[in-house]
Amino acid sequence: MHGVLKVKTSEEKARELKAKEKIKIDEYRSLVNAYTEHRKLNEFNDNSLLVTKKVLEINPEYYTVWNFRRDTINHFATVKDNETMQTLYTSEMKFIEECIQRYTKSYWVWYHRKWISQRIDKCDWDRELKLCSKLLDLDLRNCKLYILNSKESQRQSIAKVHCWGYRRFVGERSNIALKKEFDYTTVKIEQNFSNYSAWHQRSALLPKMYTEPTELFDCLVQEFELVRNAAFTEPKDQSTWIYHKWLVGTIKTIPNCNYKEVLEGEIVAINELLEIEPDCKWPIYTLLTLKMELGNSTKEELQSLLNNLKSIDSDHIKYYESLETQI
Amino acid sequence: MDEELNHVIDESRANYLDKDNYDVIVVGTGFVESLVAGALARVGKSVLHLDQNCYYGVNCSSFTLNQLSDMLTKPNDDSTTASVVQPILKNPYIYYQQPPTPPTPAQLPTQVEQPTPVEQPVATEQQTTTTTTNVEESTTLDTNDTSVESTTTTTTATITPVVEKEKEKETVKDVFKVGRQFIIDLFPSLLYAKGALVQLLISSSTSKYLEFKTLDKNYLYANGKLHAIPSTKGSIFKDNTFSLKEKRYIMKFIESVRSIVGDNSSTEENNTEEQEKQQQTGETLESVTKKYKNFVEFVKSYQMSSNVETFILYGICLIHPRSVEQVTVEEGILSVLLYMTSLLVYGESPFLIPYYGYGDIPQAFCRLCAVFGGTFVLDRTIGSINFNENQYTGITCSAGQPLTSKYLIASPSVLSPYIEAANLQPQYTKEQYSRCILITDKVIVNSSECSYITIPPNSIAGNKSTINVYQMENICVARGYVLIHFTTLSNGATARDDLEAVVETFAKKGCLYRDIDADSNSDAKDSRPNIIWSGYFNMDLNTSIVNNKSPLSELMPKGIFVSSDSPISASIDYQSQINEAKSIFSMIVPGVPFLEKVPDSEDIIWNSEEEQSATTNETTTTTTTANTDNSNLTESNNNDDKQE
Repeated sequence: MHGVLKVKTSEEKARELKAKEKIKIDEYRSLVNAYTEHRKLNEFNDNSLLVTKKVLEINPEYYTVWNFRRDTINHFATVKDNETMQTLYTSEMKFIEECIQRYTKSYWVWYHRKWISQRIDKCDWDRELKLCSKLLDLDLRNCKLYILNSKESQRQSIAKVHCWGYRRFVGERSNIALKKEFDYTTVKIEQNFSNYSAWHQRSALLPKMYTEPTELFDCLVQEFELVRNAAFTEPKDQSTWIYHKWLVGTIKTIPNCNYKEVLEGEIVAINELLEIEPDCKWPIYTLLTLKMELGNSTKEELQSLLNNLKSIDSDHIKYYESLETQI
Repeated sequence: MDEELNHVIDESRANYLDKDNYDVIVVGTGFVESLVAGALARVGKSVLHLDQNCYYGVNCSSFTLNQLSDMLTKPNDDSTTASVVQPILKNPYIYYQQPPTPPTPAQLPTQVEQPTPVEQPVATEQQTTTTTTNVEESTTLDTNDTSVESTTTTTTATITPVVEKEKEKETVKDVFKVGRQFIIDLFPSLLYAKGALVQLLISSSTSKYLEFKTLDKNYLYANGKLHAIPSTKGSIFKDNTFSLKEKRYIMKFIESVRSIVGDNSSTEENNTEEQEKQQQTGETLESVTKKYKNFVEFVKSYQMSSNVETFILYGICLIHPRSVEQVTVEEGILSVLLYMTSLLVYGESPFLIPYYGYGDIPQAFCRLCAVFGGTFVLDRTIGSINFNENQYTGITCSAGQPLTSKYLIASPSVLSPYIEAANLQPQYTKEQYSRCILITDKVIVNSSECSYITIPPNSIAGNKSTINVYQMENICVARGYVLIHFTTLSNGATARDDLEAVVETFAKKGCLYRDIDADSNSDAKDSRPNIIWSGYFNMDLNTSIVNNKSPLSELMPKGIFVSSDSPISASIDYQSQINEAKSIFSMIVPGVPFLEKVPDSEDIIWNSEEEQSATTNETTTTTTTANTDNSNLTESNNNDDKQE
């Protein structure tokens, strides 16, 4: 028939694909063999760097190869002058950058970057921060989370944990302005507030930023407002409630402040939320802890909240039973 | 004598096609026709595709500014086609400010010049009235504001005799110099990233002929303000126009819509949760469809604030300029769901816009048709349809050549004499739309460059129907200009009646804001756009009433199929047009897959000689097709732009 082309069948395609894969596998195997040879003989030379690089490009999860690579670099450091080493470190940073972009979730890659960055004489920490921001944004674009898919976004947030960890490491070394880093977490939270790391970063920054008790108090009041917005948008999101818990715990410790008034305000807001969402675990639980904290509720009130929790969240029934003994 | 006669015959047959027998003749290169033509050629049918116009797309077409201006000033006066085809642009009207170059006192009284002889008496009269009102308005503005000089309201007749050099470039003359860089859609529209059309473009590999950009932002005009429609969870969280409770209502509504449809796009883990939720609410698409008359009623049953209701009905659900009462429960729910699933697919916005105009989409399917051997002739249509005892046999085309085919596909506007004779009109809804096209120098205040604004009824200058505003900067326009489309459903009024007051409000304030007047800040006034050129017209569109069938085709003589010619869909995101194309396709070739993916070149087996010769034939067909298309202005111009 005219206009109809002969097309390869799926079997033919699969065969072609398999042949291509076979070539790749053979290549990888020969590289691993070469590496093993080097390791057996404890050969620390340029070739061992080259071989490990090739293996790691394909499989960055092979952590013994990273270790051997570090041994080689350590050995070089004892025999070569600093200038040569610095150029080696710079090229190493570039290599890791390529790896990181492909394997953001690999522990070893991030560890190796930390290890190298500490050896560089003048590490460009600003650039490192920018790299982190870029990677965190990349993740945002890649995640196809729908407006409500909170589980999926939580998973994404966990995947980003390495990058946030490295960011904190960079932050400690680079003396970046705390406010700047704080603003960055605001941006990330506004993009997607199911972000454990960003909330955590905030909780780590705030006490450092505001050493004056009144300042910290005012700031925490604003934070409560922010969390309230997140809670009303998605009350099932655990990350915001964990941060809320931290806020409650922190505001209590501020001397000479009227924290009880703030907590009363929170109780009003949560009750409003419960009018719309009566069966949501986190606001009920938070309400319970707030009431227990303030200690001005009757035992019956607390008990009814606990009963409610036990019925909607049977997975943690033992925990609620232990709370029962505290009321 | 004989020689002379021979000469005459040759002359009249110069435009004849070599081949006069086809499987299918398609008339009109509109959306549905192009889709069917592409699909039929794809499965090996010989297709002849004609168009009465000298451009592709019919109602889905895109033009340069100069072409559009010509069309509005010289409406279809071609006597040969006028009998069959209605002029597509009705009630044309152009308005622009006279360039302030010759500031002689004698010319000052007649500032506003009507550039065309069309409807001249009416136009001039109405213009004088506009002029006077504008003068009044400008004076009130002047008394309100301290900085008189900075008032740059465009339609005002108070042109300062001193020619400002900066303003000079914003004159009509200049815009026409770069008019070829404009791609102005007759009827612009948005594509959902996960919508039926985008999926079809990908699955049929037609997308390789097209380029898209994501929309920057979509807005809802409510309470005198532009609200950016929050798209992600993050933007709802950040939004400060909704109260805490309203935020929860929006999220809860979307959640419940998802559970009603039983969205299974989520991962397995979530599925059990979804199912539980569904069991809790117990609602299914069927049960809610029975329960509520239309989508409005369904939304109201949630007892949310009116703010949230407007946001859902006009912001998220209603994309086409239709009456919101027409939206069925099912349509509304699916539209909200489609909006959600389209988020963050290609960008933050759920919508895609064709980079070189909406007219590129039907053309992409035409190209697919041509690649698979279809023949295209523009500026040619049906002269008469030939029958043999109520059985369709072929047509005599407008060039006089008799052509035979098994099937004929054409739109109601082409077949109107036959439809009217058979009294079949009610099978189609014929709707009139009002359009206005503005060219300005800046974007609407506080909006992003490529944005879509929905104006619900009764919110600006007493508009009766929803008005959609579509603003484009950097794509489809020359540098330094902004193109703004206004579209609304018209109840028989002219485009000017429907839209001028809105445009006027816009022009006066430079935006659609109510509160900008209060802003005496001169910076805000400087950021107001000036209208450089504006064109108004009406379009009649035929949309098939039933979504899945083409009932009219069944009533037509055997062999003739009718395609609706509306560039917008009766359902959300072109599903109805695609279904219509599919149903026509399956009536011609039953049981054959519709628009299968074109194989990748690396998967094609080239070694057999026969196949190789077949492919070379194919390429030659394509080139000859391109040659017959030399009257196709749109495409050639678009290509120029692409090169630039």
